[in-house]
Amino acid sequence: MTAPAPALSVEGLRVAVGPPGRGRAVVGDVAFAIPPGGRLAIVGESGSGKSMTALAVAGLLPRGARQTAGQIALGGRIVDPAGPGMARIRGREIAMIFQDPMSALNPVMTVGAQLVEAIRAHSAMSPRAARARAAEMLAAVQIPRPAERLDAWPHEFSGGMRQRVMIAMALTHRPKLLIADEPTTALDVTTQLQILRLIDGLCREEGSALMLITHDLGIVEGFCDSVVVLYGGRMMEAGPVAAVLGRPRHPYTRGLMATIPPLDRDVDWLDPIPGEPVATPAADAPGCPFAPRCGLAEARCRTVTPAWRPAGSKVAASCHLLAPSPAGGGLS
Amino acid sequence: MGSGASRQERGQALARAAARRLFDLAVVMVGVATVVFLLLRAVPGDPVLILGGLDTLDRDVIARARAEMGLDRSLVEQYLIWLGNMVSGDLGRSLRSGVPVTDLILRAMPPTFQLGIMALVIGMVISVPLGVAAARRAGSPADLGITVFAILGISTPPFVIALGLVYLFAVEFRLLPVAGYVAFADDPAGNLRAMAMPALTLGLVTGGVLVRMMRRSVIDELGEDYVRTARAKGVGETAVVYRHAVRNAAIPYVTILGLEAGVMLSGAVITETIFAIPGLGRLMIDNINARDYPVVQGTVLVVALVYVLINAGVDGMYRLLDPRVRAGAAR
Amino acid sequence: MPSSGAVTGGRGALVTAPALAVEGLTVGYGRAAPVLQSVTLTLPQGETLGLVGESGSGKTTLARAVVGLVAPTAGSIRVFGADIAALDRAGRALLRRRVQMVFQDPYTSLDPTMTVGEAVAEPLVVHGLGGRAERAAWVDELMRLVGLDASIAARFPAELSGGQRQRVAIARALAPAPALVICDEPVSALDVSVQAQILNLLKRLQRELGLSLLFVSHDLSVVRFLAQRIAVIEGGRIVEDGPRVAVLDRPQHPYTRALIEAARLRARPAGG
Repeated sequence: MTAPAPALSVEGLRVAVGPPGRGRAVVGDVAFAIPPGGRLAIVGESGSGKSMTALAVAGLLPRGARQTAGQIALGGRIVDPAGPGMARIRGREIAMIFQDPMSALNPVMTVGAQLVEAIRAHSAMSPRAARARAAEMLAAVQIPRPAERLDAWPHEFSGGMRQRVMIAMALTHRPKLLIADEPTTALDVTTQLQILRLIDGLCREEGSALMLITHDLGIVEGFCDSVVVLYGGRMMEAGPVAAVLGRPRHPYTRGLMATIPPLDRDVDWLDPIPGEPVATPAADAPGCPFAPRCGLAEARCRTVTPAWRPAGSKVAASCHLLAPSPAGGGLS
Repeated sequence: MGSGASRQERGQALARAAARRLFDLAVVMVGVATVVFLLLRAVPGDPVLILGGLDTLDRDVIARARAEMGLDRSLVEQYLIWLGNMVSGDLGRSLRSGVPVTDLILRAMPPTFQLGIMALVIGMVISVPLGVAAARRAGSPADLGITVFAILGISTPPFVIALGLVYLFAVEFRLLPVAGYVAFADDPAGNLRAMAMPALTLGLVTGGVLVRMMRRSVIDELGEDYVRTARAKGVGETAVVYRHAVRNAAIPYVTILGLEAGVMLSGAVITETIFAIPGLGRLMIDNINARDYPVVQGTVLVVALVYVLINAGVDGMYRLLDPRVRAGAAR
Repeated sequence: MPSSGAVTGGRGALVTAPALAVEGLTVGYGRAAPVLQSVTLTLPQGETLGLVGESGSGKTTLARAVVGLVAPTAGSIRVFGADIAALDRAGRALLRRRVQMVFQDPYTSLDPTMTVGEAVAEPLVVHGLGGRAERAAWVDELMRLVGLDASIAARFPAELSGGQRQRVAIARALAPAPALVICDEPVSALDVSVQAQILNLLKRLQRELGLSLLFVSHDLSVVRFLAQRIAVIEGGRIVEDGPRVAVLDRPQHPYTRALIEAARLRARPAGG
């Protein structure tokens, strides 16, 4: 028996910005797979390449950025995200919601018109039928009086309501994969929880796989089953959430966990990672991108790119210090 | 919240906004009238002497002429009389011909308005497709070509464009008359032939400005998040550009369009002179040279009124294009 | 280490009064519902009060009222015992010196055309404190205090990272040796790994300089780390107010409970 093809598989992804030939890699050798209905978190700080990875998968890289290597497959079928056929896939097989719901909706179109546009982009539904479906979608994201709200303008909605509209648009064609790029970062804390639960519930109902881009390890624990930790455009550590967060192997993952102030107990001092993330990484430079901030870094960390290797059951990481003995030596 | 306001409330808000506009209009007009009145009096040169010639008239004749024209009264009196007449719609009579100023202006308005509207239409017809095409291919040779064309349109003085067009269409190909004007009612074809070159002259200048504006706005809008959302939905690129980006780009474009409509009025002065069109521009220039105060005052007043109306029109367009503006007015 | 009293001319006279005492503060605009309704808060000297609320709760208005940027409709604000509504010109100048603010966005709160050194020295110039040489020495000292290399003083904000900018903003706030510092979401625009540095810095400065901090935030775990007391604000009203541990471990108001539940999301995962 073979396992079903993953909803999304990414191999050797590389994204560069700048003029062709003289560009700088901002994402290097990123690889992961999400099984159908699975939920993967991509965690990182600014400059980690997490958003670029998401946009590359959806073929929505901004002007000046492009995929220079790697293979992306949806449900086992290899696609070219930058190619002309992608418009038929986006919105139907892959859907995406973004960080800032205030700017993600067109201010001069009604909410209903934007929903209808999303519906009719991939179906031959009549405008009337599409409108009825749009109202159903608003109801599904728990917007009260949905039929009336179709005629509302985006500026008449709060941030949380707009994010609900975005979710409704994204899930209208029951996509195999939903990419959510920091979907709650711009929202109030109590709204964050509601929106995450909504995404969670609807993805389960529709059987959509979820790729959640976030800087927030707390969210990862509650809503995802596997996690990829990125730094400087490269993968630091990846594996099941419980394994990675329960016993982080990579010094960066460990540092990141220690840096968050706990809610349930008092601590006198936090244990910050020194320095700051580089906003414009060079993901193709030799060495570990985290080495300049790593308290454990050795000479080889700055010159030799560490290999991607298993670091426990289903967990893998890229760190020289994990290497020495396969029997749980090094940092593990 | 905008949707919460009842129809009646919104109607009242609209009425209030209209009343405020009317009041603004009155204030602007009185201000313009005052400034024009004072400026004209500050310019050296006596209309009576210019009309009659310096030597031919004796003192009595001059004095009588001044009394007839009201020029013997104090400045304050002249001002109050002029203001009072203006309010009642009487702009006085030409010092030279005695014809009521209102008649002169009404006769001069159609050619100028026709010229302005034709030029604006030409400018829009040029700028929307070219601006959008340049924005979609920003940085490409096509974009560069369009930008060069636009900058040429902006930076070439209108009289040079006019002379170039005259050479091409009137001298070389003999397609259009060199100059002159026929009313549309008398000879529609002849009217359009006469207006073609002047309108094209102004239209190319305006078109250059508007192409730049449209290109910049569409490029900006294409970088906005909602455009990315539309692409993420799988909307085709043409619909992304026209349904989303251009619709939002229309808001700043209309602002510039309004400004350009105002610029038209001053552009008309040169164009009408070159092409011998009896419009407001010609009327103003001729009568400034002759110190025919009432005519100049009246013309400037009408031009100011048109400016204000254009502005009101632009505001109306905003309400049409941008729901956020509608909501703001209803609050 | 210069004590904050060195420049202010001593706080000894008012030692018994709380750093901040807000009583029955109401702020409203026109006929709309008041932004703040009978808000009462006390921040004892040398302590940190965490003010927790979401957008639109009125927490920023409260912070602005304390520095005199917003006029109250009713109620009083006392800073070190002095009613700020009753201050004369000199009193208001002193208030502006002794109460400083640190804002959320280090990218917009610094003038891009000023060097870091100029920005940090500006409050000194404005308040006419010290001569040129003294100011330069003090700027050096401040840079060290916030953990920045003194050479950064010659740079412009655009050349700095987010964390460095927030350190500069803190140095600038400390320049006129304030006794009360109001921090409005000072770490929420920063990367997580940098947040911890700034939080440690604020805690250390608060202790070493004996500062009183009003720390406005939406993030309960951040507030738990810094504050002795926590006040929860919702819809312009204080719905819960008490010692840190009591509010967080035994919340009384349903809104506080909802906030805590939501905050568990962002908190350190249990494994950590």
